[in-house]
Amino acid sequence: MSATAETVADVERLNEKYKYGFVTDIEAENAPKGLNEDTVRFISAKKNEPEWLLEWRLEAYRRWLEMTEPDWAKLGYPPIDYQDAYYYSAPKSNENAPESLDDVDPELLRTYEKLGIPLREQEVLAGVKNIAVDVVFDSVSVATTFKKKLAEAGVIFCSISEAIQEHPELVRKYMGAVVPRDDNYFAALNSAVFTDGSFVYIPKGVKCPMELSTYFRINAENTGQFERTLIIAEEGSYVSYLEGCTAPMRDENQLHAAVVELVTHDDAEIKYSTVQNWYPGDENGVGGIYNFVTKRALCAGDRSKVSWTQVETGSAITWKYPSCVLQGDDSQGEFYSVAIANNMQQADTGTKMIHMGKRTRSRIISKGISAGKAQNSYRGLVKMLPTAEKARNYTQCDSLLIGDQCGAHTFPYIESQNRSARVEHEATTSKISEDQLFYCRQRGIGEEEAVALVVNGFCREVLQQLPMEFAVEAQKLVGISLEGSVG
Amino acid sequence: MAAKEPLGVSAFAPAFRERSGEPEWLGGLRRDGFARFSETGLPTNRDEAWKYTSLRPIARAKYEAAPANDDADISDLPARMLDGSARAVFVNGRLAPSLSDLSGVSGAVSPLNDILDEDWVQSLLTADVDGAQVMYALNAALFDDGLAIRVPDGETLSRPLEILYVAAPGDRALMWHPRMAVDIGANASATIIERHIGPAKGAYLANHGADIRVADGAKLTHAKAQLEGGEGRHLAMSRVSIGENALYDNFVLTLGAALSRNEVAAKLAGADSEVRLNGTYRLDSRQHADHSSRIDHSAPGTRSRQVYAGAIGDNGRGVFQGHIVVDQIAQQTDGHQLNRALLLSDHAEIDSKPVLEIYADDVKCSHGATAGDIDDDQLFYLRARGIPAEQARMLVVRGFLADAAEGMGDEAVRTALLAELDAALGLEGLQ
Amino acid sequence: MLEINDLHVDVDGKQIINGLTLTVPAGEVHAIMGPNGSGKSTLSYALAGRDGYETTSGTATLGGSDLLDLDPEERAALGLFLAFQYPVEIPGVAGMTFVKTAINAVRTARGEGELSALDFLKLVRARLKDLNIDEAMLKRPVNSGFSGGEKKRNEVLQMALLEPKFCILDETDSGLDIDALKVVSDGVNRLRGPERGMLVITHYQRLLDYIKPDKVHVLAKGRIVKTGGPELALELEENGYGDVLAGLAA
Repeated sequence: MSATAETVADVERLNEKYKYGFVTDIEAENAPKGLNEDTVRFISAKKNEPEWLLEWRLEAYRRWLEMTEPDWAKLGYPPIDYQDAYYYSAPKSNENAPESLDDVDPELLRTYEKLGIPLREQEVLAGVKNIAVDVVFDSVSVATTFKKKLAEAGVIFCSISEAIQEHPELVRKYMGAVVPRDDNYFAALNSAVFTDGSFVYIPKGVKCPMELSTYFRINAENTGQFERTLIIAEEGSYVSYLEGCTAPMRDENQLHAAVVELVTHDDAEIKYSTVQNWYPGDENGVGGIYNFVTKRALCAGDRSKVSWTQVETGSAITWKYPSCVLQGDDSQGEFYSVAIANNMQQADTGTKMIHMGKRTRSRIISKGISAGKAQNSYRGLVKMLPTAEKARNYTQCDSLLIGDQCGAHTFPYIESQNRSARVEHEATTSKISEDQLFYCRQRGIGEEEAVALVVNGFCREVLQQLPMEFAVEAQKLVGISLEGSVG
Repeated sequence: MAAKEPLGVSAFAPAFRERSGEPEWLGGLRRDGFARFSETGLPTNRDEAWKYTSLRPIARAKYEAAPANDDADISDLPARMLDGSARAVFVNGRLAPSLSDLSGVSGAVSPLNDILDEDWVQSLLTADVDGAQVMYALNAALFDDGLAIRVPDGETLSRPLEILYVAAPGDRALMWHPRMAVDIGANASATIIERHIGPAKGAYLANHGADIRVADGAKLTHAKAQLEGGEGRHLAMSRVSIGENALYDNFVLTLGAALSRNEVAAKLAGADSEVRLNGTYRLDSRQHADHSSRIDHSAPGTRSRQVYAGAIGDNGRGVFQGHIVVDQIAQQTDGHQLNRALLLSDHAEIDSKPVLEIYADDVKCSHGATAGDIDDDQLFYLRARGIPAEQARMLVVRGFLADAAEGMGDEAVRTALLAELDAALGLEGLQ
Repeated sequence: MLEINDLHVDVDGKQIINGLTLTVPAGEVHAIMGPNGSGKSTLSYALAGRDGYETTSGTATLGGSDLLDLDPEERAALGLFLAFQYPVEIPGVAGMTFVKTAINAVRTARGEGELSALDFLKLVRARLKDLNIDEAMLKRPVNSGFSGGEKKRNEVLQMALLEPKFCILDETDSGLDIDALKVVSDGVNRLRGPERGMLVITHYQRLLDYIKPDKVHVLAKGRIVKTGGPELALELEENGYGDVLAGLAA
């Protein structure tokens, strides 16, 4: 067999493990490599942004220059060269923003078909719910489906670039209100160079008629993806939003630094679900996405609620703490997380629940699975401020170890300044049960499938929070992510 | 631009001096200790290990090294905590032989300064000092006095030893840095109780350091009642190494001091060894008490148990930091920690950080933490039985705090400590 | 059917099964009785292929196929079923998911192809009805929070669904009251048939009142020391193991 053929065979074999690892061959327009004020200006100009936003970006960039990359997480990686990346890459065919799906480059449509993302606004099949999708390809949103149907309900669902043009007052009011542009190093970087993302606005009293979702895809080489998502739920409204991510397999690491801001007003609820399956690198730790994400919700209104559910199986490095600031009285925050780290992956993820309002409640269920030589950390903060009368928190944090080369770590911070507030935290760490595996195998179930079954059981409390369509995918992903972890 | 001096270095510099007549290794240890302190200064919230306890106020206090106090006027020492125990008395950080009674244990217990040339002392004091906290390094640089306890292989310390640290600071703000070295030989055992007392008025800093080795098959019961004076600041770090099948059984009762930190770093170095760290604290006024622990499971089959319970009133602030590390080799580790806090006032605060860091797979580890007010159901139950509300509250608090003492294996020691707690709660004669 | 010849098994370096020879033909039910520590559970785990139960010498075959070199799931695919003394709880995994995964894994291993969702459901419903078990049991996580009786009924249900060639029942009577014992035994008896062999391991004769064995073997110190008909069980019940073991020493 020739060397090329061998490589092809290798790649095919690997592809079985990470089936999203292909590259789409499409002509792209890039910003010049590197990062400086001109890069920021380039991006802003490309997007035809108003002056205030350019200033906002430049200020974020200047703050970023003064900040240092955080090193407190339990993560080890070589220094990132921020000058050795492209900060903007857009498919050329997207230059004149497509009016409808018919105008979208068929090559792109094929890519999403291959990824299993429905971009055609199909006829509603019996029993199958429609999902509106915004698709972000490298730096830009290439399509948003079901916009018309959503508009009838008063829901705005579009790319953030479009929102900046069409709804500047909303963007200006809320962007940076939850995650200040200098909140942290990666948030500042994102604020300077964000290229696209999704925008959702649910008006007063509206229950969003369908699930909304954004599908993020990194395709271009040496390109960072910096998206920004903003969801605003007005009084009494409800929306369920899903997010999925994949990237091609490449030997170099690629940077993804996103910011997500959620705002709920009185009696509003946002359910935000993520299945993060960025390319994790190979079993030797070569390649993979560096995923540094700032996600935060402001439960501004009384009785409002935000529920974060995440299934984190991808990325070489995950640095991510979806949080809730519980400002409104009786507001609620939830965090349900499954984080799987296999091979050389490193994950440092958790949440912050900041209780300000009276009778605010939070619930944290975190399931960490470590296999191979991976390091998996839960890091969380529960803070009861003096105003948090009769607030409640319950945290359950369980870690499962598969094999003796990996690590599982738990770093909870619990701070209470209110006597009537009650905090309960429990954490356990144990190895995957030999008894359970043997029981499954005695019934004829193969070892890898037995591991997938037991781990899915371990994660059930979290997985059942996902919308049905996602839950099935996520269960499969749990099994795939752990392939090769036993035997 | 001149580099800013690390916090508090100039405040402590006058106390650091070259000492003649000491072994060379100790001179080196002291210089290294002070160099390290000079580099980092007093820890503040920016230091992750001190996130909730800043020593900034100490920099401002201008403590002077306590002079040798041959003329210290100490009358009416409290009765011994345990009947029949030997007693070493320290006044302002220095051993006062005339107040001490070491009969029966004098072979095992000696002034540290008298035996600095013994190998075991050197090996204990110099082992892995880089891993210790900076305040321990400062203690190494500045200690004037201390106690050395050595129980030979297979023997039992014939009487429990009480070490009574009395603070008598007078008008000036004083500081002392006593050191303790404990070596419990293979299959030997001992019981040591520390008691720290001080007057209601008078500022001082007691910065203790202890190096403890519990050899294979040995057992050390080590308890402490911290009843420092209201203006006192108390820091203590114990470094403990535990051999195969050995047990280190530790309990701390914290009631005194304006600011205190009790830190234990225990290494389970031998297979099937065990450590128990338990603590109870009751805080009022503006008291700040920090209980920090780090347990390294470094051998297979090791076991750790920790329960800390606190009740915090007024503007008090409690801190718990527990860090369990399980090395890759430490399979079959069994490690549990629990931290429970009652907040009894609107201004009380608890901060807790129970960390698990695990590199072995065949482990059973857990931690739990709770914070909140008194359980209304319990209160109601007592009141329904005719107990007045205030007394019922006190009983519930007492029960909550005493629970943490259950882990202490030695019943006599436990009883003596709970008697101190009851005295502080005004519940004498309850048992 | 099941043929065990001069089997030696070590656990933690200690020899527990010590030259055991036993043949159970198809269609027969044999009982193995023995005092605590005689090696009963070790035998069932060794036959099922649990890690840590090391065969140092001897052979064991099922229907002519060698068992000892196979992984547990391969033995299961060959048709070996072990009803556990202590069925394992698997939190979060619904019973339905579990049996579906198991049935399809075994079918795939046998080259029979997976059952369609409809056929699977038909099969499950039929077996539930046979055994008079409520479908609710399969909606709960496997064995989690089950009573002792529920766990054993769940074992019998799985046995019925997987249609094994050979069943080992390890102390199936332990932890059961008399009513539960009857129900479980009825279930087992339904599964008796000319093609199927069974090995019933028990400490007490009680179970054998309900599951009548063709032969009874006495296990002591890791080997079969006496074999007889059902009357041997009654004898043991009356006189205890003392007599048999005393005879062994003499």
